[in-house]
Amino acid sequence: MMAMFFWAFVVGGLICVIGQIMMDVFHLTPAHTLTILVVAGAILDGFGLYEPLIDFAGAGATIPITSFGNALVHGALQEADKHGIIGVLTGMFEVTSAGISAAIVFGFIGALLFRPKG
Amino acid sequence: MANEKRKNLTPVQQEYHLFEKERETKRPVLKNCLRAFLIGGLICAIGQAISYFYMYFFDFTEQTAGNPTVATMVFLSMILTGFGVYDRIAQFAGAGTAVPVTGFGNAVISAAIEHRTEGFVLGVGANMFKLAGSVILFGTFTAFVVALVKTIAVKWGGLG
Amino acid sequence: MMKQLIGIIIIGFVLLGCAREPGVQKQSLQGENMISLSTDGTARSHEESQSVAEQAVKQVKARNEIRDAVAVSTNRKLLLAYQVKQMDRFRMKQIAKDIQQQLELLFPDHDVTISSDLKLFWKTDELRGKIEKDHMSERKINQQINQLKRLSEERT
Repeated sequence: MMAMFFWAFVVGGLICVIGQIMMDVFHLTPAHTLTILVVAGAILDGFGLYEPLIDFAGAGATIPITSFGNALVHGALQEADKHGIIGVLTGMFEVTSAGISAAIVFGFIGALLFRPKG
Repeated sequence: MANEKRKNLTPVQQEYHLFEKERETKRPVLKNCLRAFLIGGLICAIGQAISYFYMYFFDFTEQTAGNPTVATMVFLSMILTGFGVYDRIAQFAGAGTAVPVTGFGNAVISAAIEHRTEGFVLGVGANMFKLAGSVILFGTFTAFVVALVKTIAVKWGGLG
Repeated sequence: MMKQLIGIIIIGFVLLGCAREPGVQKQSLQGENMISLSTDGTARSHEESQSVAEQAVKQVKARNEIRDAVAVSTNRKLLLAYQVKQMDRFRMKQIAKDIQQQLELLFPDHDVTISSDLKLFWKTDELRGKIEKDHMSERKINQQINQLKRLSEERT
């Protein structure tokens, strides 16, 4: 269990470093950086490479935004397995729903509770 | 593109351009990376702790604990964003706070709070995904293409 | 400030209240050493000899990449949960396939369920302890195994 924490820290930290390098060395905006990372996550899962990383690093691989792309592909593939090609379209948000719906709900609650600063 | 622009400049301007470049403060890449590593890693370790919490006290498995963990992290980032703490951490950590899912939450929530003065429909509703929209769009589209290609390859190509 | 705090606390309570089955397993899991088992990983009782589970655990533990394993069995069913060594976790899918095959070969007349999930590991260990202590009936154990099997198959 301790090993799991350690590797979650290392792998999660390294993914963040990749993001930082994209921002600092290649002068990309944060929005571009995040978009590229999500796309990379989706493509990695297409080759079946992201799932082993999750097995290995746990939250170190599921918390960074790359896992968003991975989860989208996963939902789509799962549904495609069951319902054929149309499942690609219908199953996409099956696994990912948590992140987006949480962001929407808490975003709205936040807007109700807090006032903009400065 | 930058070179073409420079051709149209007068010699004095060119000289100034070089001078400006020389004086430009270099970004401390190594230091930034170290900070991103530490804070980003810490956020992921907290995520791991939360997912163990859900597994230990509730009926979640390693597979299913991911969703409540992500929701909890976004909830925490709402609180930190609301009190203005998240931005202060983000100034220190750079990508360390932007890359984890909390950064995604922060982008949505701060946009929602910021535009609240313009009303709930036109302000909050319309601007919420200003920053996060591109992530969702390109993520979803790539996922669609990848899943489509893979499904076709598996079904008719006999792959996998 | 005060209003915001109160709002957050209320939301927190609502969220906690909505979560599934709060605190049911709390008691049975507490105070136990979760990973390293003191016994040899199988249960013995008078009427229900867990010899199949015992054998399975022995076989699986003999593998290089397995850190720990625990199993329960009935006449028809075998449930085995294992923990993979950290550096071998990249190959988890392949390992699961191998173990499933190995056990099916060893116990052809048993319905074999395996899982590498930590939660399943805890739960199986808990069930094993219960069998040891309470002498559960075959039917009850079967029920429990089915329940855990369903849990292990959940995906989202």
